[in-house]
Order: sequence, then C-alpha cells, then structure tokens
Amino acid sequence: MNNKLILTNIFRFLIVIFLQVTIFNYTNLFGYINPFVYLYFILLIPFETPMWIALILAFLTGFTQDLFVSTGGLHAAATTAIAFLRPVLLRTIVSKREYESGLQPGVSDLGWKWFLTYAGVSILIHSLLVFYLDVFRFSHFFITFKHALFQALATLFFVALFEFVVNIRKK
Amino acid sequence: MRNLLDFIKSIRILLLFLFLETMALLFTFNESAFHGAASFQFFTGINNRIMAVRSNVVSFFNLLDENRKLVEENMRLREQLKESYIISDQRVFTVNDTLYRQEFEYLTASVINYTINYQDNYITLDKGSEQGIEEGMGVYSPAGVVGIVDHVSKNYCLVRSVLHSEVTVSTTIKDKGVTGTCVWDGVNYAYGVLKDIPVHVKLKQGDTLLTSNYSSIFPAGIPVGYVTEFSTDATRAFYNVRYRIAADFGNLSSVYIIRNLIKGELEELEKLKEDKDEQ
Repeated sequence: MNNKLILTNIFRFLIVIFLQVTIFNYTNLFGYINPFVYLYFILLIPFETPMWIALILAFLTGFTQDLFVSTGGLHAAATTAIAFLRPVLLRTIVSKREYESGLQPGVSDLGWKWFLTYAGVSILIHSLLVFYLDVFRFSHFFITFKHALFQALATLFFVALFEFVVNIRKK
Repeated sequence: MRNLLDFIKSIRILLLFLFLETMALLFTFNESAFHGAASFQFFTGINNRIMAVRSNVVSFFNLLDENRKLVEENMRLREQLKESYIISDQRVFTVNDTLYRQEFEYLTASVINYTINYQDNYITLDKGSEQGIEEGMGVYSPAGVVGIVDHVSKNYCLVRSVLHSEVTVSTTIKDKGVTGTCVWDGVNYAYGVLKDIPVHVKLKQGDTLLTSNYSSIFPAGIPVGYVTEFSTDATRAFYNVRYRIAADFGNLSSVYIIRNLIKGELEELEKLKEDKDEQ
C-alpha cells in the first residue's frame, strides 16, 4: 500500500469523525435518527489492508464514537462485526470487475450498483446490531426494527452523498 | 506443539475478532468498567474540550430561544413570590423567616454533550468536583427535570438523563395528592411512563406531573411532564400513564444542578436505622 493511500485514509478518518461528533450526533432527524456517517471510513478501507489491521481500525473507529456518545462499546461491537463480515460480503456481491489488486472500494472503480449494495448491507447489519444490542430485550422487537431500518436508510443516504461529492471533485 | 501453533495461526483473525468483540461487549454491559477505567479519563478530557467548543458555538445561535425560556421561568417564579399574593386572611399575620432553613442550593451548568437515542442516555455538563458537584445530585432545566449526576471528574460531570433505563423520579400529580414513579420505556425521547397511580384517582389529559417531596434529590414542585394518555394496567388496580416529558431534550443548553444541604444528615439518620436492623 502506498503512502498516498494511507494519508488519504487518515484524512478521511479525521473528516468523518469530525463531522460525526460535531454535526451528525446532534441531527436527530424525525426525533431519533443520528446517521452514523463514520461508517463511510470503514466502508472505504482498502481491500488489500491485512484483515487484522482492518479489524483494529474498525474497532477504534467505533470506539471513538462510543467515547463521544457514552455508549460503552456498543458502536465498537457493531463496527468490528461488519469489518469481520466484509470478506464474506465481498464474495457474495458480484461486480462487473474482479477484485484485482489496486482496486479501491468505491463508485469510481466499481460503480454505483455495487457500492449501494455493499454499503447498504453493511450499514443495515451495523444499525441492527447497534439498536438490538442497545435494547437487548425483544419486547420492543418491531419498533426497534423500524428504528434500525430508518437509521440505516438515513446513514446510507449520507454515505452515498459523501461518495457522490468526493467523486465529483475527482472528475 | 507445532500443530497447535499452526492451528492458532490459522484462526488468528477469528481470535482477534472475538477478543475485540468481547472487549466491546464488556464495555457495553459493564458501565463502571467503561466510565471507571483511568485510561479513559484522558480521552474523555479531550472529548469534553472539543464538545465544549462545539456547545459554545451552538449555544450562541440558541441565545434567543434560551432567553425566552429563562424569561418564562422568571415569570413562573415571580408568581410564587410573597409579593404576588394578597393576604386573604385579615387576622394577625406574621412572617417569621427564621422558621425556614435552606434545604436546596442551586448551581448553573452548561450542557456540552448529550444523547437521546439510546436506551441509556447521558449528558455531559461543564461543572465537576472542583465546583462542588457530587454523585447523586439532581439536574433540571428551566422547563423540567433532566437527570441525576452519575460520575464526576475534576471539571465535568456525567449525568444520567431521565431517558435512562435505570432512572426513576418520584412524582405527584398536581392537585391530586397521589404519588407515582416516572420511568422511561426507551421508545421515544419526548414521552415517559408514570406507574403506581391507583385507578380511583380522576386523571385527565394535560394534568401536570411534579416532583414529589419524598425525594431528597429534587425539591418538590419541579415539572416532570404532562399527562397525554392513560389506561388501566393488567391488574386493573393501577393506571398506565404516558406523559410528555417537560424538559425539551431536543434542545438542552443551560441546566441547574441541585445540592441538598441536609441530605448528609438525612442519610446519617437513615443509616442509624439500618445499623439497628442489623443488630
């Protein structure tokens, strides 16, 4: 992995965490939705990153969010899980091109259809984990599911928006 | 031995994953491990500083709204002043102020961070042990009850908001003379649940819920919420009351922290009773 790629990722991490803790943790769309835009960083961790680094990065990203919203390790548990499931997810989602080396996760290399499926599934798993771990009782099963679903949709919207804006700049 | 090492090597990613998940879940379900660990004090210190800057910026834009709330509260308090009342009883009347002893003391604080969309929500305030804040103090905003101080660091404190699964507030219904317990069911940040109200009480929508005088944390008479709907529960002996929470959790900025000046004395007294029971 070259240095430029590492720098881009560090920069991306700082930006999304900054946006998350200063703006998105307080948006409260429809009363309860704070999009988890920090997932944008985890989704775009390069494919060739060794698995153990990806896991630790995901854990740290989630844990940073936990520190800011005093939720213990709730987000860390969910982010670590989606990082662990990523290889399985990548094998399941077919793209037009093979995942060859040098390819970056994102719209510019793999297209919108691929990105939305990949981001959508990851974000949904993450939202469900966060909400069900937080509730940890199934008396509110459907209402929690509804919350998680809307949360996931809002997050996907903002993540796609980021991806869109970043790619406009590239062109 | 080599086989074992090879095996461990082949599942090292799984082991790392399990290790990280265990840590995360430990922190999630053991709050004291999370808040207590000394290594986090450093991080929370940094977080709090960033959050303080953010809240400064945000509160500047909320000044107008904040002013209005304070004016409304002033108005309410003015209505309670002795001067706002005429003496209806024309017989001899004396006011002897030495009869009164101050029980509650108030400190103001700014909210620098808060959440509303988890099951256990916390609020960070910019006052800590150096300003005399202790665990267990009550917190309320001009509109109503907000929470109870949970952890204190040098210059900050962490408050369990009433939007927390373990926070209960002893509540009376205004002019009805019955006392119940307010809890939060974790569904919507704007609504809470009032329990233990017997069915013989005549409730109506819009009834005001106030803190009761059974609590040593809050003075009596702080708004908790307003009744929105009620039905009898499974036992048919009590109501299930839903109420709109008085404090506006969508927009919190200035709050009061309450110190009970005679709480220590009370606790000592009650401890005597416990000691006696043990003997």
